[in-house]
Amino acid sequence: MLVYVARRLGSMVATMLVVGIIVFFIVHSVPGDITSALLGQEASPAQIEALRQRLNLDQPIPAQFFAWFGGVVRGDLGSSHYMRMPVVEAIAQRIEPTVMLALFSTLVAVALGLSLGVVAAIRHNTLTDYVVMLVAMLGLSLPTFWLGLLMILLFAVNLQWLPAAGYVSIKESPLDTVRYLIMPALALGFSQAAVIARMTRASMLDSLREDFVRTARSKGLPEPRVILRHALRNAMLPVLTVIGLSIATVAGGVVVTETVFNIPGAGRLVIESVQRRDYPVIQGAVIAVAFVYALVNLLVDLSYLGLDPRVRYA
Amino acid sequence: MRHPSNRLVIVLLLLAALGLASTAFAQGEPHHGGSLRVAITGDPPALDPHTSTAVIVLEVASHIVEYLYVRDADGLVQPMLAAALPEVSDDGLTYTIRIREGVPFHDGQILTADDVVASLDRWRTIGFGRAYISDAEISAVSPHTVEIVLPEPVGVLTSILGWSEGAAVIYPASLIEEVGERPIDSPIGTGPYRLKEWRRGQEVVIERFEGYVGLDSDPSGDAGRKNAYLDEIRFIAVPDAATRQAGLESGEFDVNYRAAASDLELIEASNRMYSWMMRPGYNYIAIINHASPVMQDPNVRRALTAAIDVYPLVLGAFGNDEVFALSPSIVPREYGSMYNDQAGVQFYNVGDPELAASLLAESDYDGTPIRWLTSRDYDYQYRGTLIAVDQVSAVGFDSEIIVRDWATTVSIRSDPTAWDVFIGNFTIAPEPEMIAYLTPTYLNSYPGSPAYRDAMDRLAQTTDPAERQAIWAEGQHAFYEDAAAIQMANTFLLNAYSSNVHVEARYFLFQAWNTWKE
Amino acid sequence: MSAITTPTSQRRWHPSLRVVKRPQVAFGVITLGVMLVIAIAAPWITTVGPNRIDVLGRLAPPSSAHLMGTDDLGRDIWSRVSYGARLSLTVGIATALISSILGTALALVSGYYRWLDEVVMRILDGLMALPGVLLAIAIMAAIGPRVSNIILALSLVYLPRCARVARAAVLVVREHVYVEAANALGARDRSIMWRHILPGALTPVLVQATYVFATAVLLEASLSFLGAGAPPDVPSWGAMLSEGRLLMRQAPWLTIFPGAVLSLTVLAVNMIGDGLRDALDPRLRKG
Repeated sequence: MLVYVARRLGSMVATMLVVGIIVFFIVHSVPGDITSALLGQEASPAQIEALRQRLNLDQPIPAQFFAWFGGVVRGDLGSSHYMRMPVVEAIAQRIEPTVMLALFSTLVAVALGLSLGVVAAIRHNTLTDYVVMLVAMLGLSLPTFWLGLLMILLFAVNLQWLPAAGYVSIKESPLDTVRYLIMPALALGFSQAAVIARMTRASMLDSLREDFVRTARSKGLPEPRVILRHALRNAMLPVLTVIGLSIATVAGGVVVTETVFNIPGAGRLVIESVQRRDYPVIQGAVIAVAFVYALVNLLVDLSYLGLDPRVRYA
Repeated sequence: MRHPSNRLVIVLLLLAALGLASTAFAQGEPHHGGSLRVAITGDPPALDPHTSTAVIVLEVASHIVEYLYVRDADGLVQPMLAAALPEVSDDGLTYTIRIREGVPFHDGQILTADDVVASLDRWRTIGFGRAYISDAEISAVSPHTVEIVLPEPVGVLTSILGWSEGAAVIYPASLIEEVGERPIDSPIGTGPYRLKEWRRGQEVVIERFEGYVGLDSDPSGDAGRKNAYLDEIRFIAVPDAATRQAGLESGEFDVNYRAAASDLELIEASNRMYSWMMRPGYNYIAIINHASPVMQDPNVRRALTAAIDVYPLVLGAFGNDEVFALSPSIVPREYGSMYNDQAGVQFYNVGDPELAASLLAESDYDGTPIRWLTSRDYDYQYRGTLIAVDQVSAVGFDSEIIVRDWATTVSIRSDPTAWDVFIGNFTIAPEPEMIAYLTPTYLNSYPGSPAYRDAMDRLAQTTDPAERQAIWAEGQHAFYEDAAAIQMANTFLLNAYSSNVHVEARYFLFQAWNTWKE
Repeated sequence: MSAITTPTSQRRWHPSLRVVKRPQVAFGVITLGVMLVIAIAAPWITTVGPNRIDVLGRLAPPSSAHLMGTDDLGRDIWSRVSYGARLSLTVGIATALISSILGTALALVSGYYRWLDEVVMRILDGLMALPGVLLAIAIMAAIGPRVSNIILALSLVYLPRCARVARAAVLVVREHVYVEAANALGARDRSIMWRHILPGALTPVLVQATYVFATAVLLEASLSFLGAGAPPDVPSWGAMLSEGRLLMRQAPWLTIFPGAVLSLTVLAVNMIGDGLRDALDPRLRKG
């Protein structure tokens, strides 16, 4: 067990090195730099050059990479060119809304997805099944930025039930946090719910056909118990994989959602930094995301061991 | 015997009358207090106009710091931190500026000539002033008098000192000594508001400076009294345009600082909000890269210019014809004396495909595609470019559209070998010497025809307004005759306010002083 | 213990066409077919080109002259929807094909040679840890907005996922006894890969490919929303959705029509994928 975890930690480090190299070189091969965002339209070439020198942007690329990665290994992600503050601090300030949004949407997605998937599986090949799957499909087929604006127009502008944009910290007012996150979490979670629903349905269908379910039924156990305690538990394995993968989807989805709903989170920070070519922030954020993602996957895999003894010695 | 009910009725009537009167007063009388939530387009790159002249920087910072001179509603330069207009020696080389006394900074220090000297020195070293007075000698000749001695006359100096985009703001000398040339992220100034908090990426919060000492004259443009009715102003970063507007309508924000022209009708039709058009705004023009081989022949440039039909182009670019005015004058009407709608007008907005085709035939154009550089990040640039390409292709030009994100577009634009035409909004100023695209060092590499260069040289040496007008008429004519750039329209920025926000007076850059909220 | 499983690989090369009779797949195939016809027949079923600008006729509601109205530059929306099908279908199919084929090849090779497996998996993990949207934007910003670049960027985004799916299937099949048997009988590595492992891996990859198709179409729309999409002369449903967003109240037809066809197409492809999986997977399990 310990050896397994150690091995996994080792590959996590390797993954992060790969991520670091990929993101650094991609980001630096994109034309343009921070000067267009920092200086006004009428900045002179001399001003631009002076700024580049001050930020060490005129050094050769490999030198810049080693300077940066050396810092990363020590835990120093450098300093944002645009905001003139350490990257770690910049991300830390903006991480809470993203985490809240991700958690909330995953919650919505899992709750919605599991229940819809189970219902569809039980009512396999009936009208309910088709309707549920159709709704799930719609979730997968609508772009988030469009769905988001439709929701804002309906619930915020028209009905005035919910705020149009923004975010309130959970430290200030948890009730407001929920109010501000309802629409974004729904917009983002709807498509994840669809994926989870479909996987749950498929997995449940398989599980329901298994021998042990027939055994449980012939033993006279009540049907809900059969479904929830026996069939669902067995079906959870691939569903957990999907939930784990969907966290990666959330990482991509928060970017658009935070932009549409004006949530000052890390996703929006990264997209703005890409537009501004604020290299330290882009690189730092991506490495941080890779780290979290690898960690989450490790946890998901460890939970496998809890759920399915067959996997233990894989 | 008195009837209590009579007295009661009288009292009630009196109370009712008072109540009505007080509501009437509430609508007319400014209410002190409240917090104004202004949705702006993004996190400003700085709060220090010396290091960035981006409009968003100026609009936020101008609440905190002040200028020596400002423009009033008629476009005339008036004193703000200075006590009077500068005394200029006859040879135009020495400017003597008296400073107002008893003006406090936010940290309690009183404004003296030393602060002005330090600020102007920083301004001409790292800021906008470096193109104009970098070699001047600036000194304090008394605690409240500053002297600037120029090596050569700079006719527009007073004008620049009194122009917001000139960014000649005044800080305390102590702050400048502490910070040097690095951007000032915690500005201290003399303005009616002080910086309370800057949460990067989210909002800038400013609060009323109780010790503010301003002018007594009536507000006019940027000049005069600045009433700080609001307790606090929050500039909230909302990059998405649709969200900004939705937030205004749902009550999340009080001001949409950049409303879309396509929403103008919606805003006007609603009784929950109203619009404010910021004139003069910008000049929407197509600048031509004079370093490009295909643009060397004036006939090619003239053919291109003649092919453009301005009204549909600008309408399609902005979406509503109330946010622009077709104008052959490079300097807009609101900026006063240098406005000229006659010089070169025969070259403006020709929109004649036949003429364009014949000019093209006379030229040495060999079919090389014209490279139009644009970016989807600014939709009015992008749409204008598509329409222009459509118009010129009917005349016989081949075109290639280079679309990139803004940062890449800027980097391509700084490479003279990589583009031919760029359409966009450009900053304009009261004086031609202050307009970037008219100067030879700008990215359009325009060397100037002999007639143009001659006029501009003479202009730089002339201070008399009437003479300047006459010389500029020649200059503008030469500019158009040489098809140096394609002048199209003067475009206005749009602010949208919530109905419960009242603006007593305003100039064209956003200000929230002289503004109150019910 | 499990008996020696019959190699069903030969049977599975030609999945039964009966799968098309299921209602969801039928819907999917018909809808996709209609989109294909619209895309191919675009020049003949439209009255005007998709890029023809007519500013003075901008924002016209649907009428007999313009079936779906005009956009903010006066371009005919029906024409743009029709030609836009070309981009979405091309991007979807090409991305699905390239990422599936390359992913499968990668999985086959690394699944068979275990030493290669570790290295390849680390690199794919690295790629997958980057949020797809950001990776695509960065690539597009670096190499420019051409349709071929969009396909390249999206294929890179989906490659790790396809490789993983293929790899999982390959791992399962590899353990099957018949492969050992073939090995024992002296068959060469390459022929084992091709004739035994590949067919087994094919089904999940095929199903995954349909999901890649659907997601790629949506991702292209998001790319346009974030400003990194197709060039100006190529109509794109995603770009239409993004550009029409600010005019949703004044001119809803700008977004309703491209939004509807985009959703229908993605829906259709998802349904085909689901139907395929339902039809083919149970047989895979029962082996």
